[in-house]
Amino acid sequence: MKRTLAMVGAAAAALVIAAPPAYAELDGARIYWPLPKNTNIVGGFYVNGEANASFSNFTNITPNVDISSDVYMLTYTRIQPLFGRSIMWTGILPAATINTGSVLPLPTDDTFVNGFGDITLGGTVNLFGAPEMMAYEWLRSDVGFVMWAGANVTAPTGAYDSDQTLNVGSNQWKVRLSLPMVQSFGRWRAGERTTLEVMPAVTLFGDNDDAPGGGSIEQDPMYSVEAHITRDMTRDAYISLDYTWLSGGEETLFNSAGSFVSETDGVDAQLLGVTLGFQINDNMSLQLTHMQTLDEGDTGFSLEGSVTKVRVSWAWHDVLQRVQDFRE
Amino acid sequence: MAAKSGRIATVVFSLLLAMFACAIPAGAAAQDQQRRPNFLVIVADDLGFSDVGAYGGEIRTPNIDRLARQGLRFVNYYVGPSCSPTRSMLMTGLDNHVVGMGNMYERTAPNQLEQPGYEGVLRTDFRTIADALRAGGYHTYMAGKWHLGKDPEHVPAARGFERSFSILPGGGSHFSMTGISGDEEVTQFNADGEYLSRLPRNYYSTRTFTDQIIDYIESNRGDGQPFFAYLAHQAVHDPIQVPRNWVRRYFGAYDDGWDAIRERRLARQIEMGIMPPGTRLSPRIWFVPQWDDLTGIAQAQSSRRMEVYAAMVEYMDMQIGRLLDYLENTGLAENTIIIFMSDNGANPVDPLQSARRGAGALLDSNFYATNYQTDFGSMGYPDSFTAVGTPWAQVSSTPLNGYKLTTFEGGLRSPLIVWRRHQAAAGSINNADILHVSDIAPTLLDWAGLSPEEFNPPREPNMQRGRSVRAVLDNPSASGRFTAARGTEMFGGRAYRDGPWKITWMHEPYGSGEWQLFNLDEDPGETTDLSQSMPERRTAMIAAWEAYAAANNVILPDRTIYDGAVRSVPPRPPVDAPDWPRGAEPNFGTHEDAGDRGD
Repeated sequence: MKRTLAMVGAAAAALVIAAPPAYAELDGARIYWPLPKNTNIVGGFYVNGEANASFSNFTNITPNVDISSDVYMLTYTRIQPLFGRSIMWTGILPAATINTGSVLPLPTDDTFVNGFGDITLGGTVNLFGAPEMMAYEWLRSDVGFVMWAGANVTAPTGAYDSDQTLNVGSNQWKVRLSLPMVQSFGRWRAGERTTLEVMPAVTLFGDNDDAPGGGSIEQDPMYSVEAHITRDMTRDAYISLDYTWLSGGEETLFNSAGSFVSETDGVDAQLLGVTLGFQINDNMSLQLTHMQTLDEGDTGFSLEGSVTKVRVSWAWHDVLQRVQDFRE
Repeated sequence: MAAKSGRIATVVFSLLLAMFACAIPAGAAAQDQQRRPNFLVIVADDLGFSDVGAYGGEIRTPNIDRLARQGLRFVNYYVGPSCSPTRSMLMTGLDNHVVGMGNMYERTAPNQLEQPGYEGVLRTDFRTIADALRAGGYHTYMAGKWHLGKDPEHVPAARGFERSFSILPGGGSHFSMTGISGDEEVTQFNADGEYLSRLPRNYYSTRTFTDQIIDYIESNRGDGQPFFAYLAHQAVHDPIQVPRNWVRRYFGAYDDGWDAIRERRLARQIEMGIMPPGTRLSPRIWFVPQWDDLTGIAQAQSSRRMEVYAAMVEYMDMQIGRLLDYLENTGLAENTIIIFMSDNGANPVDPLQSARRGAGALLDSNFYATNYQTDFGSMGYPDSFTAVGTPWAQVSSTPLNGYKLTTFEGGLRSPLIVWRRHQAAAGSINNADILHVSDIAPTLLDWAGLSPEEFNPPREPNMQRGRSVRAVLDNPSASGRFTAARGTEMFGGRAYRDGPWKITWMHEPYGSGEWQLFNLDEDPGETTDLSQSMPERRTAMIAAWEAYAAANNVILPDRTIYDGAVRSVPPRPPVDAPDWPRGAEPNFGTHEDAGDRGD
């Protein structure tokens, strides 16, 4: 039984849903594995992004700049039953510092901003493959095909100042709808697990009625598809090859009178990366991800950059913890 | 012309001579095979009395069941309470205390050290059945678990087996040379007298042993000599391991728990005629909780063990089926007698539990942690260590009391199936005769036309010795002629069976620490101690056991595996077994408390 809690920890290691900053459009590998009800996970993220785009939505792509973002996220996820299925309730509190460097034609005080980001709350309910499970049922279960439907709402609670071009918060509501799927191959046993994970999603944006410089911004939906091929390397470590496609999010700027001012291209990017995951102990896990955009040429309108992510998760389940404590 | 005629005559003569030369061995072989049957003795390891379908089990064993349907089944077949003593009796037809296996070598007590009969190996001054049959013109083959000595003079190749592939100690990984405990970290294997440094490719004990025995038989097929093949499966000894694709084969099959499975097995046994109507289950072991009292996690953990065990039994059956198919396809089945049995009752020991406490805790804990995966998700996999433990061992013993290492019926009784083509009264179940593992060797010799009397003649007047039971096998309608008394001792536990009567002495708290008397015809579960109502019979049988012990070199050990058990397991609840309702919550109070309640 000693390892049962570790199994929860391992499965929950990646269980942090996309955060509102653009980088968090990337869910990551091994997020959508089934877990027993009443599992709790607290996660801490550090994400460094180097990109030619503003922070909030991966749009406002500006060629030949280097915007460095350091994002910190605290997340909490709990698995609960919902009409016989599993549902993951998630809350995300981000914070960030953004440094544009000096090449961007912005006021000096805009080159560095920091503060809390937009809070996200959401739920992802299982459609197939992960019914509501007691701990013992989960313990015996294998993962075959799993499908979820997720809806996360991001509220404009983050630090935002329309006098600044760069902001941590986006000052707009967002709804992200996703349909994550996991298919395992071979035996479902620590050290031998292999999965293919595909996560299509769409993010819908509300208007920013207080855009920098006045006026408002309308933004088109952004579409994304993540794919991961994950494979256990040992009983306590895995590797994932990560691919992400992002598209959409075109912004239209209107002045305060409501007249059209300008339109910016959306994003059309592909990222490739690798994730290494480690089970540190029965409760704690570590995940390291690095992703790089594929070279889209020099059109100046493509997202270019990299994302490096470090994630530490702490998972616990009351029953499994008690069993483990007794065993030890 | 004359020269030409001469050449023709020479050619014709040569052809005739060649045809004649070819015809002689074939004809002789056919005649030989008519006269002298082949023998295939299949021994499972730690298989419980009720596990296979032919004895009421729910485990899918179609091949063993087929042997039973076309052959004979015996209900009162006795083996030793542990493996190597049984194997010594199988090989020699004599009592284990005489031939060197008075105790398992792993458990020899201080007062048994250096004592003749307690060498921990099969003594070389006794012949084995393989010695006798080989001398009598048989090919002798062995594949599987030996456990009768590891030195060059004790391995199968030195004990009469012409070809052999054996795991020498009592157990180990089924997939590798990883040993079974901190005392035996690496498993020794021997093939034809040579110690192995590596195992055949894709080694899995059950599959490889079957491959080997088929290879041995095939290598000499058609040479006119009959064979004696001893296939000593290591299955289903712990660690219970199966090929990966078999791990989940019985998923959910044991979710109803041990009490329900026992009830169902007994019901089938009664329906089949294995047990008489009205048979009472032995009480659930008092420290085993009723299933519904377990948490879901505990149930999941426990049932997975039995799922793997069942898969392992079925895999063994599948391999037996492969061997049977080979015999059928080659025509050898026409003249082969097949015997299937277990070496003792089901194994209640979970070495991982033992490794967590006691004097050897550090050594064994280190060993298991280093060499095996022991987590829930790994149960049954090739690198895992799993055992079924006491609750499921008792299921395997249904409806009998106890299990391996005890002298209750669950430790001593084994399935016995005897098969041959055109068996008279095929499919019948023999409840009347009391057979013993030491009867096998004399019976084979009898069938082979060799003298059982000359095989390991008794060295003391009253020494217990196997008998040829060929008569009841050749003529099942005359059953009931073999009811001679039999004694047993192991780890200080004692038993004596004489007709329907049996006395049992087991250490506290598993037994009463006193002799108990049972009528097994009416009460095979040993639920009702008749000591109070039949003191004379009890006294007479105790005297009979003492006579057995004196004649068979029994030295009661001054140290046993049961030392300290009274303190290490919960005290037995104060209930009379017959009235103890299964499913009732046992009260784990102290003995003194029990007395106060007047229960």
